[in-house]
Parts: sequence; structure tokens; C-alpha cells
Amino acid sequence: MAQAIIKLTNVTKLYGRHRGIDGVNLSVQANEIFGFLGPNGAGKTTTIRCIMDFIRPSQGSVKVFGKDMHTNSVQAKAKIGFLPADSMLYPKWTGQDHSDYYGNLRSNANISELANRLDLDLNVQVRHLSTGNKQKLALALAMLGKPDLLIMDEPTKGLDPLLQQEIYNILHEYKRGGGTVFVSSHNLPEVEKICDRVGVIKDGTIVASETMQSIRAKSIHIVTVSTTNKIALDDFKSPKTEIIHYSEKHIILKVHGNINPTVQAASRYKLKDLEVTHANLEDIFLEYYR
Amino acid sequence: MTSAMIWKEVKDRRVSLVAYTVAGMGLVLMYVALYPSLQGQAATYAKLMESLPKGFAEAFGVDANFLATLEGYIASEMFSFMWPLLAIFYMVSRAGGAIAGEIEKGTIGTLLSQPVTRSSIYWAKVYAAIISLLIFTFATILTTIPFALLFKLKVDTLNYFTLTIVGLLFGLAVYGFAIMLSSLSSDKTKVYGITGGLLFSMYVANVVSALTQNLSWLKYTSIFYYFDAPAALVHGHINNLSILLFIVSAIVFLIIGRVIFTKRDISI
Repeated sequence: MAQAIIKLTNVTKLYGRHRGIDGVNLSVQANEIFGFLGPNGAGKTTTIRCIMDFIRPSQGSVKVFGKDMHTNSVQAKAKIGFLPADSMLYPKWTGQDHSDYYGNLRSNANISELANRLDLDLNVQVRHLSTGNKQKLALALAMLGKPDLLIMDEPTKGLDPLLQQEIYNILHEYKRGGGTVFVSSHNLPEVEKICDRVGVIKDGTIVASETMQSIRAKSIHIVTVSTTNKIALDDFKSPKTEIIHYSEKHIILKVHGNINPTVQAASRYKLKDLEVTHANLEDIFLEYYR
Repeated sequence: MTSAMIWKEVKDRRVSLVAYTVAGMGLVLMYVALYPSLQGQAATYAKLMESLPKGFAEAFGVDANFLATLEGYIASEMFSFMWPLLAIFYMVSRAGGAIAGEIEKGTIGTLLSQPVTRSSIYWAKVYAAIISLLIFTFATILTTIPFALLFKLKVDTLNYFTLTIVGLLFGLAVYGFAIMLSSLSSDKTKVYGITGGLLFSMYVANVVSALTQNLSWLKYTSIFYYFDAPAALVHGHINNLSILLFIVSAIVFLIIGRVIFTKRDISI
């Protein structure tokens, strides 16, 4: 197996007595778009801060391109483009000022090509830019010098659908060009659109790390049963069944795995309607969040 | 890379540098312009000063014959109080904004994601502050010479250079302490508050030590005791202990600041 681009081994970060993240193991392979999901406060940003060496793990190791991010972060950062969740740029600087300054720190790279594509005027001071244009500038700066790895914390937050789509296109092109992306997001349809694999973090612990293909293949069905007679709830209870809604003659269930026992239970009633649908990706993700 | 970061720091803070420098030069011009009219009353002032308690004049760095020379006058009026105050405000605001201010605003995030070490970020900020301190100190102290010549006053040129050296080291020691706190904090107002409070206490300690015989030892705890502008400007004298103290404290604080900044967590 090829060397992982990002590898977190048993990473724990304590904030006093509170655990930010706890024993996180994670690896991101070359040329994949890895989605990092989790509810608010689950530890996404703490993990990203550890990867970027902004904060130091209390335990465990973080390696990017095989380099330890605490002792060798400069070499790794030369290949990393970073887009923070709330990009704080210098308000009195123009986009060009930012490009010149950070370009100077990255072998005189510049962002003019991407700025043109994003229709971004580099001669305007940041304080006069709209939220969308600030985000465009931040994205262009993250891609400054064509890094091999992009680490992005909610890259499309607050952007309109057109701009979101443009960013997805850019990321797909970036991937086709051999790049690797680690993207944290709350936006599940976005993750579905762009990611090859996802990791889900909950209460500071990784609860899943799977390819999109295997997540899509997860057999979760929503079964809706309407009857003319009264439904006995016990007929539908099982460890793999979750009751979403129940009334006297109507029940909605989420069924994990084999749906036959549920359908057989329904067949014992005089059915008015029976509907079986695949759960959408959002439902599957929410399973991890709970 | 480091030069780009130094240049960025100098360029970004040029407005405050110009403002503090122009304010300092304006004060010098005002005091120099007032001197010819006060010079004629030197004997009256000397009598007045002699009538005051000895410690009172010492507490404010005023000699009985302070009006006898421009150096004595401007050392007492400008360089014993106003200049250190300006230098403190300027250096503390520079230090507070450099690290704690950038963390507070979140602007340090993009810089930390670049392929540069935290150490080089820290030293770039320190070097830029030293450049600004050099400009501020040279401009606000040495400007006395052309202003004095403008009013046809006699000046002891060499002593102004002596004061410049003492002023530079004083400014560096203050900056060292403030940047150390800035490295530790994510809130620049804490840097201003703690440094301001400490320096104010030191100033009070210096005044109290001069006024109260049995508390005279307090002066040794005050940086203002070691910044002796009249000695440098009137007598061209540099107190070796002061120089050593400024240099050692500046180096120690700067190194501690660097260690803290490179080791700390920065949650942005």
C-alpha cells in the first residue's frame, strides 16, 4: 500500500480536563478527496489544527507526506495549501498584496490565473470584498504554488450555489491533476458530490472511515406501512429496526440490513399501502452522528 | 523569506511609526522653542527648585540648574517622562499587535500554514520592531540638534548620541517584555494591560523611592531609575549597570518569547 499522505496515529488532544479528540487514527491516501464529517464540537477543527501543527497533540503522532508535523512541518507545509473555516485576511490589503506576500514565501508563486477564472478583482482591498469574494481569494491563496495537498475547513460555507459548483469543479480538476484533498464539511450533499472516502468523527473519536461506495452500498431502507386495522408495535420491533413514526394504523421504520422480517410482519395486516425506499446518504451519515 | 516578513511588518505598521515619530518630534520642537524664553529665568527657577524638598526634584528627574543648558532642560522636560512614555506606548502597541493581535484577528492562520518556521515568524516581527525603534529613537532624540540650531542654541551633539543608545536599549527592554507577553496571549488588550500596569507601578515605585527615605530601595525595582536621561544628555554618562540590565532583560525576554511562541498551541 502506498504511503499515506496524511497519517494520524492515536492522536489525543486534551484541553485541561476536557478531551478535544481522543485516540484519532486516520489516513488519507494520495489522489483522493477525503471528507471529514461530524456534528459541531465533534473535533473536526481540533483535528485539522493538529494536522497543521497549530496545536500540538497531547499524545500520538501526525505525519503529512511522511514528515512529522511537529518537527518537520516546514517541509510538509511547502506541499500543503490550507483554507481555514473563517479565512481572516488582512482587511487593508488587496488580493494582489496577499498574493505577493504569500507568493514570496512560496517561491514567487501567484494567484492571477485562478483569480481570473474565479472572476476575482485582485486590486480591491479585502475589507471591500463580499463574503463570496473573500472566500474566492482564500481559496486562490490556498492553491498558491500548486500544492500537492489541500486541507480545507468548510470551503463552501456561506457561498451561493453557483460558486459552490465552481469550487467543486476546481477540486475535481485538482484531483485529476494528481492532488489530494482533505475537506471538512457539514454539507452532506457536498460530501456526496466530491468525496471518494469519508471519516466521521463524533465526541472526539473516529466512528467511521469508509469509501463513498461502501457507504452507498449500506443497506438501510425506510419502510412505510399503512393498514386498515390497528398495528401492534411489538410486531415490528427488532434490534435492526428503528421506529421513526407510529400511529394506530400507520408506521414508518428505518430498517438496517435484511428487510424480509419487516415485510413479513407487514403482510400479516390488511395493507392500505406499503412503501419501501432506500435511505438517502444523509440518513446514513446521521446514523453515525447519533 | 524572512526579509519579506520583516518588510511586511514594517510596511503594515508604517502609519503608527510615522504618527509616534512625528508626535515625538513635535514635542521636541515645542520644548526647544520654549527654551529661549525660559533660559533667562534660570536663576529664579533654581531658587524655586532649591526651596522644594530634595526628593521631589529627584523624583521627577529635575536638577536645580536644569535650565542652565538646553540638555538639562530637555532631559528633564522631554526625555525623562514624555519620551519614555511615547516609547513605551509605541513598543507595547507594536508587541501586542504583532502576535496576540494577529491571533485575536485570526490573520496569523494563513501565515502559520506557509512553509516557514514559527521561529522565523517571531524573529521577523522582532527585527521589524527593532527597525521601527531605531527610526523612532534616532528621529525623536537626534532631531533636537537641528531644532536647537534653528533657534541658534548651543548643543552638545555627542550627548544626544549617548542618549540615543540608552533610549534604544530602554525601548528594546520594554518591547522584549511586551512581546514575551504577546507570545503567551491571544488577546492584545491583556498585553497592554499587564505591561501598562507593571510600568505604571515601576514609575510610582521610582517616585515614591525618591520621596520616602526608608523606601529608597524601591528605585532598584523600577526601569525608570535605570533610564537616566539627564546623566546621558547633560553629562554624557552611561550607567554600565543600566546598559547591562537593559541588554540582559531584552535578550532574556526575547528568548523566552520565542520559546513560548514556538511551543504554544494557537487555536485559530
